[in-house]
Amino acid sequence: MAANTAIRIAEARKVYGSGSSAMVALHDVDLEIPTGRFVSIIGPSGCGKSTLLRLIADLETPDAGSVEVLGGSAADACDGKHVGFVPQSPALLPWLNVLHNVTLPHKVNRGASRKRRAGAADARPMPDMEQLLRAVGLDDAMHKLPSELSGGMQQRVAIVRAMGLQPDVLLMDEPFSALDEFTREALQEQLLDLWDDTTATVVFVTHSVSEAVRLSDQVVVMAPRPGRIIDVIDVDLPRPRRWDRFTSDAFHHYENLIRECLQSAWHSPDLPSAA
Amino acid sequence: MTTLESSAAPSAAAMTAASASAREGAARRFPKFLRPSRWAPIVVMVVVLAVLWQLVAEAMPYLLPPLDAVGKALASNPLYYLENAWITLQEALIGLAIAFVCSSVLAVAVSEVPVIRRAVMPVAVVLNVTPLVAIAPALVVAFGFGPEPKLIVTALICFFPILINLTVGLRSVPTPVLQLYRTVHASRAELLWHVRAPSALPYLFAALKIVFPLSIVGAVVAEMFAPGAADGLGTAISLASSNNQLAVVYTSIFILALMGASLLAIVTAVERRVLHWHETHRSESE
Repeated sequence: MAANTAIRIAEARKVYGSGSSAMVALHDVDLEIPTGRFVSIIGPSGCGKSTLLRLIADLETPDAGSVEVLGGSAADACDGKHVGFVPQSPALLPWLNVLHNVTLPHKVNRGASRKRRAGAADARPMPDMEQLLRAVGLDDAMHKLPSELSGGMQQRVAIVRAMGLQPDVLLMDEPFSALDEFTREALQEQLLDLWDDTTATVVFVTHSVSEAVRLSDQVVVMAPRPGRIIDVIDVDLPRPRRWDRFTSDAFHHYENLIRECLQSAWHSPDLPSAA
Repeated sequence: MTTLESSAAPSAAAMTAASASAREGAARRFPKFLRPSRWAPIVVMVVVLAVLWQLVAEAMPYLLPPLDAVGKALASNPLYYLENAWITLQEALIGLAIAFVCSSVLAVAVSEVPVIRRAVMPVAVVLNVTPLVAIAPALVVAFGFGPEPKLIVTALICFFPILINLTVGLRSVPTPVLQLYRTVHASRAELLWHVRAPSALPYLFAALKIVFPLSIVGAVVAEMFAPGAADGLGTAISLASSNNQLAVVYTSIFILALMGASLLAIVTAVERRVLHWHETHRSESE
C-alpha cells in the first residue's frame, strides 16, 4: 500500500497567529495521493490549499498531524531532490540566461544528485536540459535573459526547471494564474505532454474549475474558515485529453459537480470545532 | 520676382532634404556622446560658471583667485600636485579597500545571523552618526602623522554605506526564489553564492557610487589635521591657506574634484558592464 501512495497527510493542522486573531489554515486534513496521479487542489482563497502544498514541499511544518512524502518525511524527499516545485511567479534569476536558470538546481545540493545517479533503485541519467527546453518550444530563448521573455515563456522555463530534476513529486502553486487564457491553455497542454513522459505524481493548486477538470485524475475541493477538504472527486475522462473533449457533456458534468461542491461549502455554516 | 521665387522654392526643399540626410549620417557616424545635443549643455554650463567665477574674482580677489592664476599655479609646478594627488588617491583607495573587506564580511554575518544583526547594527549606526571630522584629530594624536589615521578615517567613512546597502541587497531575494531553492535543499553557502550575492550586486554598486568619491573626502579630512609632516592634497590645502596662497588652494580643490568625478565615472562604467541584466540598464539601452 505504501508503495502506491506518494503522499499521505494525516490529521494535519496548521494555525497562523495565536489567541483571538488565530487563523486555522488547515483543520485536521486527511489526504492520500496515489503514485503517478495528477491531483488538483481547488477552493476559494484562504482555504489552505497553498498551505497544504507548502507542507508537502517542506516549506512549513504542521502544528499537529503528519505529512509523509514517498514513504518518508517531506524533508527527506526534498533532501533527495525528489520534489519539483513550480511557484506562482516564475522565480527566475534575472542575471542568468534561460539555460543557466534551469540548470542551477542541479548545481546545488550535489550530494543528492550524485546519490540519485548512483542509487540502484532509481538510477537515471541526468536529463538533457537543452532538449527539454526545445521540447517546449524555447529553442530560440535558451540564451536569452528572463526579462527578454513573455510571461508565458517565463512560466514554461519554470516548468522545465522543475521537470529537469526528474522529480517523483511535482508541486505546482497556481502556476498559470497570471497568464492570459490562450497562453494558459497552451501551457496546460504542454504540461500534460511533459507529464506523459514521466511517472511523477503531480499536486496542482488552482482556482480555476475548468483547469482542474482538464488536467486532473482527481480534484480535491477545499473550503475556508477553517481550511478543510470537503470532497474528493475522481475525474474519469480518457487521456490524452485534447481540445475537442472540452466541449463534451462529460467535461461539463465534472465542472458542474465541482461548482456545486464549492457552492454548498460556501453556504454551509462554519464548523463548530473550528477554534 | 516670380522667376526668383519659383527657382528659390525647389532649392530650399532640396536643401532641407540634404541637411536631413546629413543629420542622419552624422547620427550614424558619431557615437551618442559626441552629438552636440549631448555635450553642448554641459559646455555652455561650464562656460557660464567660468565667466561668473572670473567676474567675482576680479571684484573680490580675497574670495576667489582668477582662473588664470589657478592655471599658472598648476603650470609652474605640476609635479607637486601630481605627487600629492597620488598620495591622497592611495590613501583613499586603500582605506576604501579596508572598508570594503570589513563591511562585506560583516554584511554576510549580519544578513545570515539575526543575533549578530541585533548586536552589530546599533553600534554601526552610532558610529555612522558620529562626526568623523571630530574623530580625525584624536586619531592623529593616537597614530601620529603617518598614513594610519588617514586610512582609518577613510575606512570609517566608507564602511557604513557599504554595510547597509549590502545587508539590504543580500536580503532582497524574492520569497518564491528562496522557497524554490529550499525545496531542493540548497545549503546556505550555495544560496549565498548563487542567489543572494548576485542579487546584492545592484545594491553594492549603489554603495560604491557613494563611497568612491567619499573616500577622497575621508583622506583629505584626515590629511588636514596632520599638516606639515605628511604629504597629500589635504595637507597642501591647509598649508597654502595658512600662507594665503588662494591659487594653490583652488588648484588642489579642482584636482580633488576631478579625482572624485573620475572615480565615479569608472564605477559607473564597470556597473554598466556588470549589471547589464539589471532593469535600470536594460531600459537605458533600448
